[in-house]
Amino acid sequence: MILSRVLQQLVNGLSIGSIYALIAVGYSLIYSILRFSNFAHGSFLVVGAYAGFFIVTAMSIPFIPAVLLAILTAGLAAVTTERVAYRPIRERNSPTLYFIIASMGIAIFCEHTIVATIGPKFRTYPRVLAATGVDLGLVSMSKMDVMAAFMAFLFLIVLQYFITRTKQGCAIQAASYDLQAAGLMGVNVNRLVGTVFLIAGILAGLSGVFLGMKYTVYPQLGYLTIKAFVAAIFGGLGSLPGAIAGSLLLGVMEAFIAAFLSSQLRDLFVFSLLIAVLLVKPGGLMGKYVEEKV
Amino acid sequence: MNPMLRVDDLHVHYGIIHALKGVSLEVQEGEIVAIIGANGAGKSTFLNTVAGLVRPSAGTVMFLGKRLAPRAHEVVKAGIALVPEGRRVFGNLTVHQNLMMGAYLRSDTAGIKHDEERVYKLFPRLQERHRQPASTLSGGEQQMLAIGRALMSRPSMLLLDEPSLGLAPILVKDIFATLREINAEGTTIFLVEQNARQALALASRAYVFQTGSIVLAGPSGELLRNKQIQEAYLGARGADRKRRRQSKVSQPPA
Ligand SMILES: Nc1ncnc2c1ncn2[C@@H]1O[C@H](COP(=O)(O)OP(=O)(O)OP(=O)(O)O)[C@@H](O)[C@H]1O
Ligand SMILES: [Mg+2]
Repeated sequence: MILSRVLQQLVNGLSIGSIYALIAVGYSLIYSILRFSNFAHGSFLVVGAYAGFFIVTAMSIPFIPAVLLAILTAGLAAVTTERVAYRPIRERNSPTLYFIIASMGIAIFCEHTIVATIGPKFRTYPRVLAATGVDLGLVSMSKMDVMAAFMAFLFLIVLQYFITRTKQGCAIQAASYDLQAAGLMGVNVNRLVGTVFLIAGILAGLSGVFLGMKYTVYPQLGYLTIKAFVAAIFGGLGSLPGAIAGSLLLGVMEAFIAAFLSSQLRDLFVFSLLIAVLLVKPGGLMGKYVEEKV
Repeated sequence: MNPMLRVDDLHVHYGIIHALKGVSLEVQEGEIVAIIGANGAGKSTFLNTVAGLVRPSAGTVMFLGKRLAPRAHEVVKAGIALVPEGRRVFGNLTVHQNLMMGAYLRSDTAGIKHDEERVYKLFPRLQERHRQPASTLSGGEQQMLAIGRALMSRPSMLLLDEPSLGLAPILVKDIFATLREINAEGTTIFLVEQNARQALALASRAYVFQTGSIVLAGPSGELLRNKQIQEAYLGARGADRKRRRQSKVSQPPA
C-alpha cells in the first residue's frame, strides 16, 4: 500500500507541477527577453481565471471554446500591459528596477480593481467535468487533472516546437541573447516583445482557468505564481526546459512533503529550497544562460 | 550625382551628454568611406544613429533619396546593415543560425542558400564551424561571423564599427582585404576605425571626428600627409593604443 501512496503523490505532484510549468515558462520567457522579474505575471493568470469563470457561467459556450476565449483574454491583457507599462520604460532605456516597480504596481492595481468591481468573494467554477476519478490501477486522478496536465503539455510542446523550429522562434532565442542586435537583423523588436507577452499571457491564463477549476477563483489567486517563479529559478532562469523540469520537481516535492510530513511545512520548504538553490547553484538546474550572461 | 547616404546636422543627446553636435556628411554609391577619431568622439553613436539604434534629437538621415526611419528593422529593410562594435553575435545560436538571422527579412530560400555559401567562401573558417554555437568562436571568428551575418541581408551599404578591434594584425589584414572584395562586388562600405592607418589605406576618403563634431575631412592620401593627423592618429608614440586594450567580448549588456 505504501507503493500506491507514493505513486499517488507522484501523480498529484506532477499534476500541480504541470500547472506551475505553464506559469513558469511564460515568466521565464519574459525574463529572458527583458531581464526582469515580471511580478504582474499573476495578474495575467487572474484575468484568465475570471474570464474563464464568467464565460463558462454566463454564456452558453461549450467548454473548450470558452477556455480558448478566456486564455486569449489573458494574452491580450499581457500584451496591453507591455504596451502601456513596459514599452515606454524600454524605449527610454531606463534601469531594470523601473520594470520591477511597474510590474508590482500593475499586480496591486489589478488585484484591487477586481476587489472593487467583481468583489473579494471566492467563486466556484461550475462542474464542467464529472468529479469522478480516472482509475489507473494503483493511482487515480480526477478527470479535471488529467485534462489539465494533458493541455499543459500540449501547449508546452507546441511552444517548444515554435521556439526551436521556426524563424520567429529563432528570433526570440536571438533576442534573449541580445535584443538590440536582433533589431539589427530586421526583427521588429516591439512586435517580438508583444508576441512574447501574448504567449506568456496565454499560458498564464490557461493555468488560471485550471487553478480556478481545481480550487476557486479569488482576487489573490495570482500569488500562486510565486511558486512558479521559484520553480523557474530552480530549473534555471531563461531556460524553458529548465522551467518545466523545475516546476514538475517542485510539484512532486510539495506533494510528498504535504502527504508524508505536514502540509504546514510545504511553503516553508518551497522558500528554503529557493534560498538553498541560490546559494549552491545560482544558475539553477539547467541555467546555462545565466553563466554566459552575468 | 545624388549621394547614397546623406546626413544633415545630426544631433544626439544621452541625457545631458551632447554626443553628436551637428554632424553632416555624404557617402556616394560604391565608395569606401572611413570615420576616424579618438575614444568617445561619437563614432559609434553616429553609426548607431544611422542604424536606428539611437534616436537623434535633431537632424535627418537620407538614404537613396528617402528619409530613414529611426528604427533598426526599417533601416535593414532599406538596405543598410550594421556590424556593431563588439560583434554582438548571438552566442546561444550556431554559426548557421546566426547567418539565418542575418537573412531574417528575406524569404528567397535559394538566394539565402547562395549567400550563405558566399559567406563561407569569404570566410572558410565559418564553414568548418557552422554547427558550433557562436559563443565558442574566437574573437576573430566572431568578427567574421558578424560581417557575414550583416551580408546575409544583401545590404547595399555595410556599416562597420571597428572591425579590427582586438584582432591580430595578420587577421586585420585579411579582414580588410575581404572588405575590399565585398566592396568590389558592389556593396558601399562605411566604417569606423581607431586603427587609422589601416582605415585610410582601405578607404578612399575619411571624416575625422572629435568630441561629437567633424573636424577634418578629405581623401585618404591627403589625411595621411596631414601633420595633425600624423601626430594624433598615426604617430609612433601612441599608435594603435586601443588595439592593445582588451578586446570587448561579444555579450549583451547586463
Ligand atoms: N548609452 C550611452 N549613455 C550615455 N552616454 C553615452 C552612451 N553611449 C555613448 N555615450 C557617450 O557618448 C560619447 C560618445 O561615445 P561613442 O561610443 O559614440 O564614442 P566612440 O567614438 O565610438 O568611442 P570608442 O572609440 O571608444 O568606441 C562618449 O562620451 C560616451 O561616454
Ligand atoms: Mg565606438
